[in-house]
Amino acid sequence: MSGRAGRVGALALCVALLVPPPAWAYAFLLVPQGQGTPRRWESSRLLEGRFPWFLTNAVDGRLAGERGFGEVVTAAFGHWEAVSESSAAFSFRGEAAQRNSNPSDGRNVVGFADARVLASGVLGATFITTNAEGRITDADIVLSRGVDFSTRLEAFAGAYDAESVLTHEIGHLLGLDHSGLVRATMAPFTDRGDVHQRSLETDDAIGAGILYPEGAFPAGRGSLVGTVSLEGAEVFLAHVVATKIHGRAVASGYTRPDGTYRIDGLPPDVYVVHAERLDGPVRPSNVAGLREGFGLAETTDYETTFH
Amino acid sequence: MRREWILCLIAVLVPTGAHALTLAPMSLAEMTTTAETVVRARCLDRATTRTEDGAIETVVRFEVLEVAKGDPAKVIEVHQLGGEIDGTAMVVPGAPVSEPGDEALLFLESARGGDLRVVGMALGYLPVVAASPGPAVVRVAPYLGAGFEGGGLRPVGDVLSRVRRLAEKPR
Repeated sequence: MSGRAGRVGALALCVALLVPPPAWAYAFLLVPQGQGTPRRWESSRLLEGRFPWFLTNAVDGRLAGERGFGEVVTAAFGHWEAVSESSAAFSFRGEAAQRNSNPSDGRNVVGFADARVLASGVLGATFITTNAEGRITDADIVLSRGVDFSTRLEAFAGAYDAESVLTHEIGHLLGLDHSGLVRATMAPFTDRGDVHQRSLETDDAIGAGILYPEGAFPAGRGSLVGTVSLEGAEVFLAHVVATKIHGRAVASGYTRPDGTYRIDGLPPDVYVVHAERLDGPVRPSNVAGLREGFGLAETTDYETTFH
Repeated sequence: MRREWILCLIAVLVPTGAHALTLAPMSLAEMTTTAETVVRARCLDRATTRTEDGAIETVVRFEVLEVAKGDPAKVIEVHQLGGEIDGTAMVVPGAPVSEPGDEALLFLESARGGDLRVVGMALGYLPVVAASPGPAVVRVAPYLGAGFEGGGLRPVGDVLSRVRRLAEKPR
């Protein structure tokens, strides 16, 4: 191993800001070169404030279980609609052709795609179309036809849980990127029989709430703000985690090119904050949009050691 | 060389007044088996295009620097999901985005029409980090196994050597 020697300069500030700048925690999909501006939906594409979605008219994936595909998709949307911090709501509009002949047609279709389009190892993906202003105008969610999915209510070790994967992908539809917290629904990995991503964690809920706040959210919540530096130099794309003093990770975010981070929407409490390198399972490649958002490569030549 | 922690602090919060992609982790052996080609390569340039179904993708040209599996040309084209055409952008969260000058270890498979794609999108895309001094390294994830269970930064040569050994193993 090689790299810069010496001790890491550690600097962190926790302040409650009276006039908060835009938030950038949880991981949002960012407008390229937008210096941290999150992508949000073009309001004209919503129907009475609801995200319209269509179900594919060709359910040709490898599904097994007592629930139908539409039922599972509805349940996945329901998890996000139940988030108290967020006003995100959805409206089923009927059936549509498989993943659109035109991905920019404004029809948000949930369906299937050939594994050779998605690549091996990819269970599901969300194709998001944005306009010149970076606003989201269309999002299609697909599951791979090359993968066995379970639609069972109970966990089934022999297949990937369709509801978990869809719940994750709907987070992308809203504008969330991958979280570095492995328990979060927006972490980019799952395994056969794993259903934990059906239920949203605080990191997911706060992220959705920041993008589409319910009522006065995040009024009454707190913010963690600080800077991560390495021998006096700013660290970009460090993963900063806010953990309650009794051990539960509540939310996390990534540092900007100037080393600063900001995590909003935290319930008042006592937190331990640590910063770590994105060294797996979530890696910088999993949040490529952050690099694109700032146009810079991440800081890499350091490792995290807890004292 | 010793590496250090970044920060740890206890903070008491004060309320403020205002205010694509799911992956199945693959081991190095699985990625090597799945990939037809494994190379260390440098991005030369890229161009966006529309696929037959109207999606936007980026065709990235890479100069091959080292080969661990397969018999690729000196310059290869890799198709990556997403890109921008005339102000309309398509984003696929988790799909790798390469820029000219980027160097990476690429695990590549043939997609439709014989186009090369990265195995598992981000899984098979390991950016090379130019550490100084010392050899170039890549960040490996613990799920790769094959001696990389500890994760962290490992020399590019180590990873390529293991890929070569895995590729030579009879299935």
